[in-house]
Amino acid sequence: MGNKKKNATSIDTNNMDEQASVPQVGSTLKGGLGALKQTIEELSASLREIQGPLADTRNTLPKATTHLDRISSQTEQAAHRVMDMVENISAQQVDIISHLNEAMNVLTDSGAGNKSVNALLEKAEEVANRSQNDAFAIMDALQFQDITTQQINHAASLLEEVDAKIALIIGDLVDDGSSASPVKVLKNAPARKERSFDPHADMEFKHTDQSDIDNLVRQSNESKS
Amino acid sequence: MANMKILAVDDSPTMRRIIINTLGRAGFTDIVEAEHGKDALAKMEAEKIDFVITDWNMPEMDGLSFVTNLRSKPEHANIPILMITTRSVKEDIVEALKAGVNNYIVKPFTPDTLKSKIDEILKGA
Repeated sequence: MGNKKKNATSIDTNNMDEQASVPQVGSTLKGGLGALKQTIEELSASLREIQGPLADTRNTLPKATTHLDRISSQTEQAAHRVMDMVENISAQQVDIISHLNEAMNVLTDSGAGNKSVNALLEKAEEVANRSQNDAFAIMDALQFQDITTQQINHAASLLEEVDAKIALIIGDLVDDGSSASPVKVLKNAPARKERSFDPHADMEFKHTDQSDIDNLVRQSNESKS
Repeated sequence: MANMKILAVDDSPTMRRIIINTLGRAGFTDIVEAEHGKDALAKMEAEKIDFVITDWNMPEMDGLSFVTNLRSKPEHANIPILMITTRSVKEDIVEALKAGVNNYIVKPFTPDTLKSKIDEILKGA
């Protein structure tokens, strides 16, 4: 009984301690919640403040990607114009070489040819050949257009991702219209173009040079045989 | 083999034109074009192709899927395939070789490299 009484007393004491600590916890909690409320209000205000600029950014990004696509398209058109000219020049060089050969044959057949005239004609043919090779080199150099288009597509794709992230932040999403299980999609977003590109495409730098590729090909062939 | 029919697959019209021009200079003039893997598969169904040159990064169906698809068909199991792509990471090259390409060139390429790789494939090197 004594123990029971002692325990009861002890319990009472504990209750008294707990009762004494509740206002303290309550006060701390209230203070914490108040601070949290203030932080949320400040955050909401900040979000409201940046919502306008973010919405403006969302309006700008599709224009930027459209602009990048236009650059790709225009460089492609320009590359084809250059290729048209290179093909014309090349065809003209073939004509020149053919006429020079004809002239040499005519001179030889008529007996009017002499060493110095032949040497001059041969020199002219050499120049025509060199000029044709230069024209082909211009054509080969136009590979830059494919590589820069891939780089542009990579940049445009990154901008589209930024657009999607901003839409998430400002809640600029709408249901896609499917009745069964609607998916949230970007509001006012232009149809997203399918982009294929190598994010590492580069005109100058290659991760693996051709001799190392040749070794890999050799190893692959050996493992197959 | 200069009279063989080559299929050139690349989504870039500029690159297709450069490849066709380079092949022409090397004596290969019978060339069929395709914009991507799906288009290429349709062309392979429609005509007899002797040699395939393909890019990797393309819409609709990329080069790797195209090669895998080709190699899964008994009639195309041995057709020579040369990949010309910007992808130069070693793991990508190994993946392409495993998928079944016979040789691999990284863009930008020179006409000599293209010619020598075609020759190597045809000689079975």
